[in-house]
Amino acid sequence: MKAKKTEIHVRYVRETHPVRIVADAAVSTCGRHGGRLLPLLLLDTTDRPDIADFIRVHESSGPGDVEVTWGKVEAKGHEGAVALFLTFIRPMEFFMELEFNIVRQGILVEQALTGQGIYLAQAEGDGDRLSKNVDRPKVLVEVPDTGFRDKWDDLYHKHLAQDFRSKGLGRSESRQAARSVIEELRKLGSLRMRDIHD
Amino acid sequence: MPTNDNLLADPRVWISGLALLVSGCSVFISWRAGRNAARALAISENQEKRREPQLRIYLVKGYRRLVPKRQLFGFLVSVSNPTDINNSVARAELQITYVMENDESAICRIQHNAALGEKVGDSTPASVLSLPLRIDAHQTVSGWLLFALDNDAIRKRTIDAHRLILEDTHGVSTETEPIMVRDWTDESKKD
Repeated sequence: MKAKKTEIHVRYVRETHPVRIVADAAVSTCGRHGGRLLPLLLLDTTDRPDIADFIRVHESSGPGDVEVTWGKVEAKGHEGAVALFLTFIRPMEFFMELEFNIVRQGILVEQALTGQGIYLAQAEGDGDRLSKNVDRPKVLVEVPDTGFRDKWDDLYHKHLAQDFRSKGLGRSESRQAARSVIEELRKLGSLRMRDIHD
Repeated sequence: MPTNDNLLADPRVWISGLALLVSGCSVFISWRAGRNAARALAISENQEKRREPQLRIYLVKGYRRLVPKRQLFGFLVSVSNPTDINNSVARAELQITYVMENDESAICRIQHNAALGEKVGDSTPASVLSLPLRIDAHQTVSGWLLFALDNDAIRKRTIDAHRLILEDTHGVSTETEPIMVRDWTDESKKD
């Protein structure tokens, strides 16, 4: 699918900045979303009390609706990153942008695309980790295949290879290394908690 | 050169005059045909427009009632289908804009819950709309839309505005302007 440029209209100024990801983890729950391994993001909601409300409200309101778009912000300071644009409709209306550095956080994008979902939770401070409170409220956002996969495969391979090359590997070695890393990540990402039957 | 007396006797003159008359008539006929075609197009466009799904909401009254642990909202509405096609209300929501601690606004949506009609406990029978709700072409239905907002959802924040949003079978949304709601209390229970 060919990428196209588009403008996103937001209601509030706070929605123009990407939400900071404090920490991440991977969660696989038996009987939920096919037991797939999904990335979990702990979000800094200091400037986004609406997201904190959403995570709390969603606990009691049941399933909601969200429009998902993968893309890239065309502005200075957003190089080497891809973005996930989430337009929530129910139970709350708001817009959120999550930005992922391709080299450092590519595993999260890879896993969101493989598992077709992502968990969002609120960080309880700067040094927070999921292990500090495993039972915190979290929202599962389904990330269907929007045709981004092919583009991502190229981007991820290219950026990883560039990174290896900048660290001293040769041209063909860096390509080979990038391919191996992606293969290993996919093996790990295909982990799935199977249903338990009596 | 022919004189004025025998001007009409010259066939070249009256043939030219006749040709002018015929061309004038054809200009008039084509103008009239063009006008008729434009009218026909406008009529068919209007007909086509009347086949585009559309719902209209008329709000009769809106109340809020505070009960332990939640707020109940009731809106008496009439919903009209002014189009030439049958339609249905698939979803009815109350959009609540509330003010957070930092004076910024946030928006949440709650779904119409017909079951609340039984729990309100009014002595007056109310016809609560049950979804999905069929509304045939050029028909209007009337009834209550009921919503419950848990206190946990927005906590003690101030509600800034309420809007009703209806979504039809075709996914077309219709929303009201911000609604003023009145607090409802059962005065017969006082003393």
